Amino acid sequence: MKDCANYSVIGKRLPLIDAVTKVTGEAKFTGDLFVPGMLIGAILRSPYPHARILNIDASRALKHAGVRAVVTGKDTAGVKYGALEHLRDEAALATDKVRYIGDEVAAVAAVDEETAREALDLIDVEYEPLPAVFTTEEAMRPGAPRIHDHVENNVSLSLHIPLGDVEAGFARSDFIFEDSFETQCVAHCPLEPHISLAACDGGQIVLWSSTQGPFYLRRDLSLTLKLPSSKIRVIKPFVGGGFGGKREMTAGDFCAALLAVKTSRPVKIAYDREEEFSATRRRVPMKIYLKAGVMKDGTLVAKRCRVIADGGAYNGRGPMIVASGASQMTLVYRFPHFLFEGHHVYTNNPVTSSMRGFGNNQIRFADDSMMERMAKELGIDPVELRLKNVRRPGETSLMGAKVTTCGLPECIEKVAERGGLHKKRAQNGSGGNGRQALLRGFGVASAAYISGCKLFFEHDSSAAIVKLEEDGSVCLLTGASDIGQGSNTVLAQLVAEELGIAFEDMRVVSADTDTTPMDLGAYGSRTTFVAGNAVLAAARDAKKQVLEVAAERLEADSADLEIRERWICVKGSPQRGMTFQAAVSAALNSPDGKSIMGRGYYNPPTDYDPRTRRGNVSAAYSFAAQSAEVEVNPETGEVRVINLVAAQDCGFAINPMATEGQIEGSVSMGLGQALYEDLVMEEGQTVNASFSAYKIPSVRDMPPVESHLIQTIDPEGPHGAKGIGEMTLVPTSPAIANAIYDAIGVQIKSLPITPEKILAALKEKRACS
Amino acid sequence: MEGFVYSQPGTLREAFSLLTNKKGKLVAGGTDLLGEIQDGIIAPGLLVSLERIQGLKTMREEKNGLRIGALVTLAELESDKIVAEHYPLLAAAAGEVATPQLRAQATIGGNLCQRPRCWYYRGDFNCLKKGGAVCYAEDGENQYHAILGGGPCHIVHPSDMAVALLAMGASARVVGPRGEKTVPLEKFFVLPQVDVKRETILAPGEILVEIRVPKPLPEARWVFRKMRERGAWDFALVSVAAYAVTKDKVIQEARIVLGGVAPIPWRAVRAEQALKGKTLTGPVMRLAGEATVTDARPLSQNEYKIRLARNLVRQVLATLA
Repeated sequence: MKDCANYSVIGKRLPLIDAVTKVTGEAKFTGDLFVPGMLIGAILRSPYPHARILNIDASRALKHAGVRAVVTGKDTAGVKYGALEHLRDEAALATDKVRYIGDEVAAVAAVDEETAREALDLIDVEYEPLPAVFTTEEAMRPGAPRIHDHVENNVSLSLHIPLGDVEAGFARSDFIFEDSFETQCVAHCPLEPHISLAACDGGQIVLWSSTQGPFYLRRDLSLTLKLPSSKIRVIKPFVGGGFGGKREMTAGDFCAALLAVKTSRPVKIAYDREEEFSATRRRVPMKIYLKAGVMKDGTLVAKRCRVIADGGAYNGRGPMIVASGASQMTLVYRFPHFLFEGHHVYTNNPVTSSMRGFGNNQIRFADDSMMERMAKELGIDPVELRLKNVRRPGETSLMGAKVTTCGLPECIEKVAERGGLHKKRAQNGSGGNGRQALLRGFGVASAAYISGCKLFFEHDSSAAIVKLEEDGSVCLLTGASDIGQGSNTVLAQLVAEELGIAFEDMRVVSADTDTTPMDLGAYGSRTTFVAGNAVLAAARDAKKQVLEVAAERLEADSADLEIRERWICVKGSPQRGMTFQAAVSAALNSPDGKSIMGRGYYNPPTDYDPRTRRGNVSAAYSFAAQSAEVEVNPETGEVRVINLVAAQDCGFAINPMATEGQIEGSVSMGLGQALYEDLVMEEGQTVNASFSAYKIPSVRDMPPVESHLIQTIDPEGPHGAKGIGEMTLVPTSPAIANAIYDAIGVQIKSLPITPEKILAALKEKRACS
Repeated sequence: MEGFVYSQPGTLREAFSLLTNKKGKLVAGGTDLLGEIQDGIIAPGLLVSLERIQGLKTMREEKNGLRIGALVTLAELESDKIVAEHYPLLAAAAGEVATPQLRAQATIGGNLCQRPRCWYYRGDFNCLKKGGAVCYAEDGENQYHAILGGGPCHIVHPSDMAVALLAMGASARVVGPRGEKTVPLEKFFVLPQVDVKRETILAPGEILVEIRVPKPLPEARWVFRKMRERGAWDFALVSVAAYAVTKDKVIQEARIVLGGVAPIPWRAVRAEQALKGKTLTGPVMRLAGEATVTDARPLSQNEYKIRLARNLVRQVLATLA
C-alpha cells in the first residue's frame, strides 16, 4: 500500500465543498430558479393502464384564459428515445396508446400553476380502453394483450447465457439447493422531485434540469426534438438526490423545451410528490429462481439462475438491469458452471428502470439468502462458507470480469469480527428460544460492483479542464454531475493534491454542456473512477505547464521541481523556490501571455462484447460486506436492527467522511427496502403514492452504523480509488434478511420483510413442529 | 387545489352560522385537513378556524378530573406536568403520534376528528366514503384494514388519542346551534354501518369543544402500546390501551381498547368480561387475548392482525400484572 500519510488533501475527512452553501439555503436548485416571463407547465397523464388514444382535442384548454400552449404526442412525431437503439420503445408523449396509469399524454403551459392544472381537465382525450396485464405471469401467458405491437408475449428481452456445463456441475455436486425469491418495487424518493426549466436563448434551447447527467440528457433531447446537440444546452444546478431516478430524460424535460419553443417564453415543469411516486421510474421487481450445487465441504460447483423481471410499460434501462444480474452472480463467489436465463417482461405497470444498485440488489438478496440456508443446512458457519468461495484478487469471473484488486475476503472477515458474529452466535444459540423473549439474530452478505461500464455507449469517457487563476486559485471545469453524493468535493481534492495547493484554493464548475467538458453522468458508480482519472490527467497537464514556467525562473529542470503548500521548489532545496501564484502570474505576464489550462480525459480500458454480454465490463471492481444484528419480537413480528457493520473495498477513500456518508445513506435506504418500502398497486394504480403511506425509515429506525474502509489501492483508479456509490446499498437488505432468518429460524424469501410475513412464517413453523 | 376563504370567528355562535349556512369546514391545527385539501379529497370553499374562540386552548384539572380544550396540542399534552403525573396514559399516547413537528401543531380535537388513512380514501378512488359505490379494500389491498366492525367500509380509525381516552373513560362535550351535550367518547364514534360517510356523531354545525377525563382511581393501573412498522410518523398496525382497577390483585374493572383494528376505536368488551373478577395469571391473559378477537372477521390480506391484536393484548396485560 502507498504511504497515505504523504498526502495533504486526499485521504482527508473534509466537509463537502458546497456544505455551507447548502445548509445556509443559498444553493439554488432548479425549483428555486426563476426566469422573467416564465410560464408554468403541467402534464396530463393517462388514467388508464392500457388504452388506445382515439383523439385528443385541446381546443377547450387553449381557450382557457391564461393558457399559452398545449403539446401532445403528435409533437413528438413518434420519435422513440432511450439508451440502446434496438430497445427504444417510448416517445416523450404517448402517440398511439397509453400503457400505464400516469403515461404522459399532453402538456400545457400557462401563466401559473393553477391555470395549468385547470387546463389539463379541459383537454379532451378519447380513449378506447384495452385489456391490461399487471403481473409477469399474466403478461407472458399465450394470448395475453400485447403492450407493444412488435413484441410477442410481452417479453422484450430474453437472455440465455450458458457458461461451463451446469447440468454436469449439478450431477457431481453432493447437495442441490433450489429456491425462489422475490423482490418488490420501490421508489427512489429523492427529496427534490423532477423539475425542468427551459428557455430559448440566442438560437439555443437552454434547459436547467434536475438530472444526473446533462450530456446524456442532451443526447435524448437532440434525438426527440430533432435538433443538433449544439442547439441544446443542458445545465445541472444543485440536485437534491437522484439514486438512479434522474438518469433518463423525462416528459417534463421534453415538454418544457418544446413548450418554450412554442411560446417563446421560459417554461418550468415540476412534478409533484404524487407524480413522483406513481409515474416516474422505479426499481425493477424480480422473481429469481435459483438452483445451486455444492460439495459437502461447502465448495460451490454450479448455479442456475432464472430471472423474470417486471419491466412495466416500457424498457427504460430494464433489459440491461436484468443482464447485470448475470455479472453480479458470478463476481462475488466463485464456481465453475453457470446458466443464466433472464426475461424482461412488459406489463401495464409504471416503468421500472435504473435505481442505485442496477439489478445487483435483487440478485444478491436471492444469492446471499441461499448461501445462508446452505450454511445452516450443511452445518458450516455462514462466514466460513462465504470465505471458502469468495472472489480473490487476480481472478477472472465466469462472465469475463478481470478482477485486479479485491478486498472482499478482508471485508467479510472484518464485518464478521466486528459484528461479533461468532461470539454472539455462540451465546444466543441459533434461532433463539422462548416465545416471549425477543429473538436475536445475525446475518452477513456481500457485494461486488463495477466502476463505470460501457453497456450504453462505446465509450465511457469523461473530460476535464483545470484553469489556473492569477490569484493562485484553481478552477476545475468538469462535466461530472454532483447530485449530492459529493463528487465536486472529491474531484477538487484530487486537483488540489496534484497541484500542491490547499483545498480552499479550489472552485468547481460542474455539469453544463456548453461550459464544461463532457461526462456521461452519475451512474454505474463511475464518477470518482472515470471523472477522477480525467481530472487527474488535467491537473497533471496544468502542473507540467506551471512547472515549466517555474523551471525557467528558478533555472532548474522542471523534472526536479515539486509543489507543496503552494510553494514550488527544487526537490530537497525548499529555499530555491517561488509561490504557486507567482508562477501562474509569471506565465500570464510572459510575452506570449500564457494562461495555464490543463486538459485531460479518460476512457477506461475495458473489453466487453455486447453480443455475448461477456468480457471485462469495467476497469476495476469494488467489493463490500455488511453484517446486521436484529431483534425480532415473535409476538408482533416487529424487527429492530440493533447494529450494522459495513466494510468496503473502495480502493482508496479520497474523502473518508464522504465515503462514510455514502455508506450511512445507503444503509438507511437498504433498511427501508428490507423492512418497509413497497409500492402497493391496485390494477396498475399506485395506492401509496405519498410519504405518509410509502414508508421510508425514520431517524428512530436507523441502527448505529460502523464503517470500515479496506484500502486496496487499485492500479487503475485515481490514487487507487474505485467506485462506492451503489455497492454499499447492495448487501444491506440481504444482511438484514439473513439476520432475521437467524433470529426466527425461518427464511422469508420476499421483500420487504413485514411483521405480517414474520407472523405468518412463525405460525407455519409452529404448525410444522 | 381549489381556493378557499379562511375565517376566524371570535365566538362559537358565529362559527355555527358559518358552518351551517355557508357549509364551511372546521379547522383547528389543520394537519389533516390541509392534506385532504391538497390531495383533492375535499374542496371546501370556506374554512372556519377555531383559533380565536375563547377557552378552547386551556387545560385544567378539577376535582373530578381533567378538562382538555379541543385546541390543546398533542405536544402540550405530552409535556404537561399534571398529565404526566396523573394521566400518564394520555402523555404516553400523545408521544407516539406522528412526529414532534406534527404534534406541535396537531390538536386533541382534531386528532379525534381526523379522517381515515385508508389509501383508497386518500387516493384517486371514488370509494364508498366519498360517495362511490364500492369499498375497494373489500377485494383489494387490505393489509392495513379492519378485522373488527368493518362493513360496508373497512377503514381503521387512525387516532391514538381516542384509544387512550376511551380506556380512561373520557367523554366529549359537543356544542351546536341547538345546545350542547356531553357524550361518553365511545358514543362519539360511529361505525360505517351507521353512517359510511363520517366517523363521528358530529352533525354539520356541531363542534367538539372539550374532552373530559375522569380522575383515575388511586388503585388503577394502565398501559399503552402502539405497534407500527417504523419507529416514527406511522399509524398503528394495532395499538392497545388497557386500564385496570385491582383490589388484592383481583380485577374489579378493566377497559381494553384497541386502535388500528376497526373503523372506530374498539373497546374489547369480551376481553374486559374475561378479566373481571380474575387475577392476572398466564391463562387469564391468554383468554383475554383470545376474547379480544373472537368476533374478528379478516379480509383477504389482514389475518395477521388477529394474531397481532391477540398477542398485543396479552403482552400489555403482562406488563400490568
